[in-house]
Amino acid sequence: MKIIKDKFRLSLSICLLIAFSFQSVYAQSNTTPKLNIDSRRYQAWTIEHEPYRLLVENAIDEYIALTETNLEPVMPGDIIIAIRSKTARNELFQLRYGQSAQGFTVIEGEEIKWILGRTLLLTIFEKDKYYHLDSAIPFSKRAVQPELDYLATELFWTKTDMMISMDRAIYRFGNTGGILYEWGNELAGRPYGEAGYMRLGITTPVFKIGIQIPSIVALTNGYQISGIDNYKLNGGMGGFGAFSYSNLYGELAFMNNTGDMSQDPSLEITGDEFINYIDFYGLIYLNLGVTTTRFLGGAFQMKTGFTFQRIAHRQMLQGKVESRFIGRDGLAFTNDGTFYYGFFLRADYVSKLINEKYPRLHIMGQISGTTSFIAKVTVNPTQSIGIPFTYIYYMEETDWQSGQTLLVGLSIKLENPLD
Amino acid sequence: MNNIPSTVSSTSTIFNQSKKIIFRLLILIIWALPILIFPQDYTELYETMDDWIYDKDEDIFLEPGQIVEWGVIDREQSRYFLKKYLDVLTDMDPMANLQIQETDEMRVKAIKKENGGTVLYSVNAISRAGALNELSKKVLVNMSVKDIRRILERKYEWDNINNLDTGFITGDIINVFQERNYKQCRDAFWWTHRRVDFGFFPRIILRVTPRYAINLEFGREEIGYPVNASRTLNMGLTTEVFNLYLTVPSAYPGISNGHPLDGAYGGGLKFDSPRLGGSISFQDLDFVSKGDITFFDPDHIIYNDYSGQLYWSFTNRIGKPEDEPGFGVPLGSLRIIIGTTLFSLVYGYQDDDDEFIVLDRSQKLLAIQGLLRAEYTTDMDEKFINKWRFMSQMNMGLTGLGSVQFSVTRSIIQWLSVSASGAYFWSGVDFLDARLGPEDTYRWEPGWYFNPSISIYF
Repeated sequence: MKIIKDKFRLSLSICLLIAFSFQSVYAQSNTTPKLNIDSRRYQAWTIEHEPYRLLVENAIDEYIALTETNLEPVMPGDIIIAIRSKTARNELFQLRYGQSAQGFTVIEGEEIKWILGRTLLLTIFEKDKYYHLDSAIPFSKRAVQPELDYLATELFWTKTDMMISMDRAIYRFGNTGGILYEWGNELAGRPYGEAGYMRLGITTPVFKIGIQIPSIVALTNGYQISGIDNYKLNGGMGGFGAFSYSNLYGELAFMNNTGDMSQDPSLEITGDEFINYIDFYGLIYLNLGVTTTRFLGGAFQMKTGFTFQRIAHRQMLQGKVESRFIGRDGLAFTNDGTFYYGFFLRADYVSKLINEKYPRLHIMGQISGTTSFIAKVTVNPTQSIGIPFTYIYYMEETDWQSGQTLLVGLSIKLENPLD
Repeated sequence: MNNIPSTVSSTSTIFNQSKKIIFRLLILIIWALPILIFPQDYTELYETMDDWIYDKDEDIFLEPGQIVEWGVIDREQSRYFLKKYLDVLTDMDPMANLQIQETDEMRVKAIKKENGGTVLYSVNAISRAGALNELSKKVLVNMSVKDIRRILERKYEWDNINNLDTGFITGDIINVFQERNYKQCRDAFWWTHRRVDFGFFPRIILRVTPRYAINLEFGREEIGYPVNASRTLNMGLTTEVFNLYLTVPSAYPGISNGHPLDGAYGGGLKFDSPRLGGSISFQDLDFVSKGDITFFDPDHIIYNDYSGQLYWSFTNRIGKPEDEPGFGVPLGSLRIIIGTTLFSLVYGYQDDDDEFIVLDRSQKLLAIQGLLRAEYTTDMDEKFINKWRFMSQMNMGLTGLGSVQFSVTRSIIQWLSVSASGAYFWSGVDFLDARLGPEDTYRWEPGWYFNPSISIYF
């Protein structure tokens, strides 16, 4: 009986040994790639030069066609990240493609050579010779941050082909640019019609630029809880530019109105004796590392910065816009413009993304210098529809702002069915 | 009684044998497990050797996207394959004329199948003398599937083939690696690919990190007032994408004959990408207390209170390699920028209390200008320097106000370059001046400017 037991043990051991050996041999081709890498030892960048990006896409497609592989093709919205070691010459450490929200496909080792071929590999390696943006994604502790990625993208850009909301619309042509419309400026503490101007321009994932014109949208989308109805801002003609690069955001805008203001419908509300508009405005903030995923099931992010603006005081005299030094209360201003500056603080929370695409709830609180406090709750019943509720409390009672206001919007996101 | 042990013994033997069979089956199952779990898709696609090799007579209308071609760099792979080919060839025809050698360079062409997978279209061998020989399909079909698949799967070192090199590839393929991207040219003008670019003085750029640089630049080149044509200094932060700067009044010494733009305090933001770019800026004399700015002519102050610009650009290859005979510019990249600028000029004077009094502003038509700019830089040499840089820009308004400017930079050695820049305004602007009379005007003549300078790099 002991011999039987011994033989049984021996046979079992051999079987297990063979099974484990096989598995370990088989596993060699599927070793888990290194996801979080040390920024001191590696450089990572996204391939932004379109022809090179297409070459990499083609190379991966070819490899999928030629070889039995589990690799997925590169999708149009994917970013492609190349990583090289600071010590290695002429070879890439990793190639990643995908999106932060859905995660990345990682290629490394010999497979990169097999996929790209020598010339393309060397071309991609020499990052200083083509358009790229340095990327911190491979160095972050979390490889997949869908909620944070949503927050970073939706404030400046959009992942859908067309995004139409009452205060902001983007029609994308491709992954690199789009046409932009904005009504008011939420980051300045004056969303919708509160700013007195609207914007038209072009936008990319990293910058936007365009013109500012008086708000021609005569839409009442809320209720003034307290304050005086005609204490509003007027518009003007000007320009704006903003960037969102890495964790840094900056914005600059100017407006001027020294000519005919008859095209500004806000004059009907404010009257032409007391014209006030923002003649320049600036904001710079940093996305702080105080970001937590799985905060109440979602993600939380803080932004802190500095903002400034100047309100120009004008009046219409004999059909011409002239400087004004007297306020509505009859007291004199020191100058024909009042300058404000202060700290900017914003906190965003999004609930866990549904299907890794949209959150059911987005809550935001923001202090814009000494201008206003904003609280905003956006409810997304579906991926395509969002309903934002915005509460504004103006910190200072002036000729152009007062009291508290509650505003409602609507946001629609559409995908191109042909894609 | 004797039956009992024999029964036990026979039962034990049967039991042992059953166990052995079960164990052997178990081992077999374990070995076969990967095959059962991971079925070979290719076995469904390729049943015979003909399925591995494309019949060229079958379809002559191949779409360019269906064809994949490459050169085998891994010499072990090509040697192995060609040896196998020659073995089969000599088996089939011992008297065959062997034009193909094991040491030849191999080039492979495959066709993507509509239902997935690929088939071999052709294999070419290039001898050391450069002769191109196509491997016979009759021989290839007699080779083992394993060898064909090995070469087709491309799990070895390979490279793209330049269409012009081979001549045997169908379709119009553009060698995309020779296409110029804007990076080198852009880097030379937008910021620098060096750590420090210290110019005396039109500009100073310090790349604090690879992603961020601090820059100081005299003048307003983008709107047509470079270096000493505008009494401003822009100081800011530059990245790959944007340049955020503060503007302060300043004066830059240079050779000139004209009335430059005055400077005020302000700021701006510039963007640049391979196709689109632009800028906005503003300046305001109200930012400072009275008398803080020294104007060029306090009786006639002209400054730019805001500007906006939007442009589109493309980059081309230009020139010829140095070793090629004949005349021509050295091989480099030429970037063409076409855009429009919207800007405003304010005219006024400083009164006895040092207050700035506005007299007139530029008209709307004057405020719109066309922008045409060309940037050229030679390719970086082995020392990572662009030997030549050249820029020319024209800003032209609808009312005639306009300027042309240029800059030339020559790198002398790895860390030193000399440059010259200049600007010429072919027209002036008339501003209403109430001091002279209700309809009288003051004519502002910006004139011309010239600046030699040197730069050192680290």
